[in-house]
Amino acid sequence: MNVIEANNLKFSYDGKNDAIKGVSFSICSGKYYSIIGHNGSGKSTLAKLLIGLLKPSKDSLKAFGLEYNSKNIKEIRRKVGIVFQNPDNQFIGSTVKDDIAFGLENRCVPQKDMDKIIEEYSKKVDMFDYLDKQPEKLSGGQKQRVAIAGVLAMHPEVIIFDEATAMLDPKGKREISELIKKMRIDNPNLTLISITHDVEEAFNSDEIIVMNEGEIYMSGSPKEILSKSDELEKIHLGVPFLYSLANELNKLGIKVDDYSSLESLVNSICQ
Amino acid sequence: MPINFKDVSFTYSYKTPFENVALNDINATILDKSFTCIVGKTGCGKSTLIQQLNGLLLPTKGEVIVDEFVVSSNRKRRTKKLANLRKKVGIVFQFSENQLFEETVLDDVAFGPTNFKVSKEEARKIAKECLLKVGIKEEYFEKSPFELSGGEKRRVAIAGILALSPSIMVLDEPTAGLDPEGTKEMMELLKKMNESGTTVIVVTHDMNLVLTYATNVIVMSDSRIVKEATPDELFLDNDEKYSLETPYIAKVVQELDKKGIKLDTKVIKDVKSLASEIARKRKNK
Ligand SMILES: Nc1ncnc2c1ncn2[C@@H]1O[C@H](COP(=O)(O)OP(=O)(O)OP(=O)(O)O)[C@@H](O)[C@H]1O
Ligand SMILES: Nc1ncnc2c1ncn2[C@@H]1O[C@H](COP(=O)(O)OP(=O)(O)OP(=O)(O)O)[C@@H](O)[C@H]1O
Ligand SMILES: [Mg+2]
Ligand SMILES: [Mg+2]
Repeated sequence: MNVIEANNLKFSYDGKNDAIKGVSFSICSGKYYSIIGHNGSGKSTLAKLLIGLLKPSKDSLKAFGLEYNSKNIKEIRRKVGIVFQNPDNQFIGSTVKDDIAFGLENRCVPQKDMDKIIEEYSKKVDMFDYLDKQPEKLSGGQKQRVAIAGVLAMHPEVIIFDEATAMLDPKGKREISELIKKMRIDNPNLTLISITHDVEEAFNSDEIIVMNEGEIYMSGSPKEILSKSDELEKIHLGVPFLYSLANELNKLGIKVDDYSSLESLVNSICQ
Repeated sequence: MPINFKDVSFTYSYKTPFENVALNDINATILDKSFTCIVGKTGCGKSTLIQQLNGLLLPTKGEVIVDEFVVSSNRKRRTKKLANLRKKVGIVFQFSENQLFEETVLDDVAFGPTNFKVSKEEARKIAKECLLKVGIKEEYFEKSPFELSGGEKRRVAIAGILALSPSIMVLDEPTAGLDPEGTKEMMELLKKMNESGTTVIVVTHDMNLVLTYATNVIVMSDSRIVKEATPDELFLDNDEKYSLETPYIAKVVQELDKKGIKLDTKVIKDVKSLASEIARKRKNK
């Protein structure tokens, strides 16, 4: 089932240049998507369109079969949650606890369940000890953890991460991706759209959407995208480390076919 | 002159019920003209540490010495005009995009130099050069900085500090939010500045960048410095990892080592040099 459908979707900030130049795609329920693309390629703009923060061109976008209009927007936002690129844009509450609570109140979660949910999700992102702190007094990575907890606690059906883990340490990044993995096993309909510059992370998803200058340049499984890796460099992007090493080795006459893991790459070097 | 941290401790909201120790008895030296990376897990104190470097935060205890400047909360010790220190030490903050404020991108970058007694015209010239260096094209110069993408904002913020030509350049996660090519170009730019005499201090979680670019690494954990080393010592020669991620290159070196292929790690800095070292070893075999 498609949860989001875009058909010749356009958006312009200034009425002259299009930041999104007529893109068409569909997001399938339960899948994990990555969106990659150079700085300014339109990724965040697309994300803001998907949560109805920016207004899509007429008849070009639907979520759960709903048009993006003032009547439906509340319903859409209940189903589609976003963690913004800059966590400072996310915080509303004066403490971490208030901040997570705010989203829940908006969703009419009964007061009596609230504390339990806040405890559960702050623990999931390892920020339980910080509930009484002010969000602006946290470190960069701590802010991102809180922003993630706030969105996950609201149980959206589609989660959009706009570089939501860019400031986390590698272990923290892994923990969050494990957490999402678990949530997706518990709820097979949970859809993740992750905007990221982390190539390794992107190549772990089910499908990669590659943006370039406001357009979708290509999309497909990581394997499909890798088979066109030359194109990635042309549009300022990169490839995973093992692939680029295999590539360099091949150039030097060392044939490496299997770069699916470190072990297999090392084995073929040793042959 | 190196930078010296002498018995530096820092506590947020000192002497209030909300006290929070962020730096605990730091003693360290950052070498002059080095490319020093500061690493460590979320919340360990990296951003707090670098903000002591220009007196934005004053140590609760101890002092930081940068050339002739003394940063201390002791008024008697502290250098009177810390403003002059800010000319020497330029800091790009972790959420630097929050620092943009002028009406246009160009004005924002030109603001710093005009403040330091450079003519308006000259400041704009410097600003243009710096913007181009960080990959912001001319067509963006008259845009409002608020109307930029995340990565574009970060580039403008970095240009704003470049424009001050500080002799010590400090950047908190400068590549977070940059696209892969932008990351490479930014690091190469910093490397070039470093080679021409600027001390570069970078906070990052990306150990691959640390291995490729740093001359020195400071590892922090839980408000303390737990190790000062070169990247090779830290990732290639040593088994103790200080719970840091192993860079990809080091992983390959270690795996090959297990199979009896010993690479000369001194010549390995990036994927290309790793590949040619592997090729050399195979030929010799
Ligand atoms: N509020 C705004 N007003 C006008 N133009 C904008 C605004 N926000 C972004 N833009 C422009 O629209 C284009 C797309 O921006 P967007 O933020 O979607 O890029 P992005 O792919 O998310 O980039 P990044 O990787 O840097 O975050 C860019 O050229 C940017 O300059
Ligand atoms: N303004 C503040 N007021 C009170 N406590 C703060 C403030 N800023 C940071 N802290 C706390 O001080 C400690 C160190 O924070 P700091 O920002 O230096 O960490 P960091 O190493 O830069 O982490 P990150 O990698 O997440 O950016 C953290 O526990 C944090 O919660
Ligand atoms: Mg963006
Ligand atoms: Mg920090």
